[in-house]
Amino acid sequence: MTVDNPTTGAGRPPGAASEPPTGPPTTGSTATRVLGVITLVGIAALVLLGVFLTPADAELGDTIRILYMHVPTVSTAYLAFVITAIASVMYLWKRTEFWDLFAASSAELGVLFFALTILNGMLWGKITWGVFWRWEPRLTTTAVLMLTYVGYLAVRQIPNDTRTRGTISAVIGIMAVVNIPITHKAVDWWRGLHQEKTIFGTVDPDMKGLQLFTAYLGLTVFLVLFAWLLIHRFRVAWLAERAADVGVDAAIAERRAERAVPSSAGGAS
Amino acid sequence: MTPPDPDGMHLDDPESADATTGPVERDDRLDVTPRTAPDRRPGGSGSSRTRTYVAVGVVAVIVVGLGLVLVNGLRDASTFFYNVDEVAAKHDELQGERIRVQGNVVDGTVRKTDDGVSFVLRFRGEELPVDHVGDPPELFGPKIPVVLEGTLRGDTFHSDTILVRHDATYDEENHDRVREAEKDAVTTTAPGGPAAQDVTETGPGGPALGGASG
Repeated sequence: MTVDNPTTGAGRPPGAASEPPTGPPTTGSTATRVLGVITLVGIAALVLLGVFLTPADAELGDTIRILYMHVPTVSTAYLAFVITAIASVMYLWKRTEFWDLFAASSAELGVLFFALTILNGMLWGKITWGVFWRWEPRLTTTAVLMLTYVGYLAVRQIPNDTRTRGTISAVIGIMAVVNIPITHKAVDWWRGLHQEKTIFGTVDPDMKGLQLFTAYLGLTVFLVLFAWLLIHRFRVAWLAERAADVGVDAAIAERRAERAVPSSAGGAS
Repeated sequence: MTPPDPDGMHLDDPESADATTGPVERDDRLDVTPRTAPDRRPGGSGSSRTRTYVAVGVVAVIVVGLGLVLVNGLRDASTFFYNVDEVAAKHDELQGERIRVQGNVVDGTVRKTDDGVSFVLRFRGEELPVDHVGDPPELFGPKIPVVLEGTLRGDTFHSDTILVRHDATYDEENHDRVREAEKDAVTTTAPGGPAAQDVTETGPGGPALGGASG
C-alpha cells in the first residue's frame, strides 16, 4: 500500500521500509509482506477446511460453518478493543502521538471485526433460532459495545488539538473496555437465546477433531490478519498526521508570504 | 516543505498576465490553504465547524441509541423468558400477558394442526400444552429446547414464534443437548444421571434430527 504524501523523504512511518527518498512513502515492510503471505495462505486453508473438508454438524448441518468465522471475528474484535484500552493507558502516561494513533487504529479494526461478528451472528440466528435479532442479554450487551466504539471513533472526528483529542478518546477507550467481560459473561449471568461461551468456555470437550482444529485455525488466521491490518492502518494514520503537519506549515508559510505582498490581499486565488 | 519565496513575488499579482498560471501552479501542492478556502476565514461557517456539527451530531445519535438499547435491553433481557415450571407457578398472574416460555419439546406430542403445530413443553417436571400458529423453524423437532413467544390463555400457551435454542455442543449425538438443558433442572434423579426422565422417554443416544456427522 502506498500513500501520496506531499513531501518526499519526510514523515516515513516508524518501522516502514526505508526506500530512496524519491519514492512515495509506503506502509509495507518485510515483516508485513511475510504476514500478508501467511494471511493469504491461512485464509485459503480456512476456506478449504471450513467450507469443504469439515463434516456438517448433526443438528446444525452446514450452519456450523458460520462459527468458523463468528468465533474468530469476535475474538479478534475483543483483542482489538483491549489493545485500544492498553494503548490509551500508555497515551495518558507517555503522551506520545504513537500511542494515540495506535489506540485509534486498533479501535477502527475492532469495529470492523465486530460489525462482521454481528452480521454473521445474525445469519446464524436467523437459521438456528429462527430470528435475526432478539433483545436478549448477549445481543443487547453486544449492541451496546458496538455503539460505544462507534462513538469512540466519532469523538475522534470532532476537531480538536491533538492533545485534547488524545485525552478524550483515551478516557473513552479505557472506559468502554469494561463492557467486554460483561458481554462475554452475559450468557452465564442472564437467561437468553445465545449459547454458552465458545472460547474460554467449553469448546474443548464439545467440539472434536477436524471441527476443533478448524475453529482454532480460524482464530489464528484472523489474528494474523488483524496484526497485518493493524500495522498498515497505524502507518497510514501516522502518514496522515505528517501530511496534516505539512498542510499547516504550508498554510503558515503562505500567510507569511501573503503579508509580504499587501497588494494581493483582495485577489484570492 | 518548499521554502517560501522571500520576496513573495511569485504570488498572484492582479496586474500580471500570468496571474493564475505560472509559478503559483507549480507550488500549488497545498491541500489546506486559507486563500483557496474562503469559508475558512475566521468567523465564517467553515468546514471545520461543519465537521464539528456532524461529529457532535453522530455522537448525540449514538448516545441516544445507547440509551434506547439499554432501556429496551434491560426491560426485555432481565427476564428474557420464563421456564415452564415458573409459568405453572404464576399461572394466574401471567394470563393474557405476552411472555416467552422456555422448555423442551416432549417427544411424541408434536401434532400438525390446520394452522401450525401443537405439542407439549416440559421443564423441571412441569408440562405446558402449546398451540402454535405458523410454520415452525427448520430445526424444530421433538426433544429440543425452545423459547416460545405468545400468551397464556387458560391452561394452553398460544405461541406465534418458536425460537430454537442451541447450546455450545457441536457433536454427532443429540441427547447430550437435552441433558445439558436440564442439567440443573432435574432434582429427583441421582447424581450422574441427569435428565433421566427425557433420556428414558426417548432412548439414550437416539438422535432425533439429522444424521450423525461421523
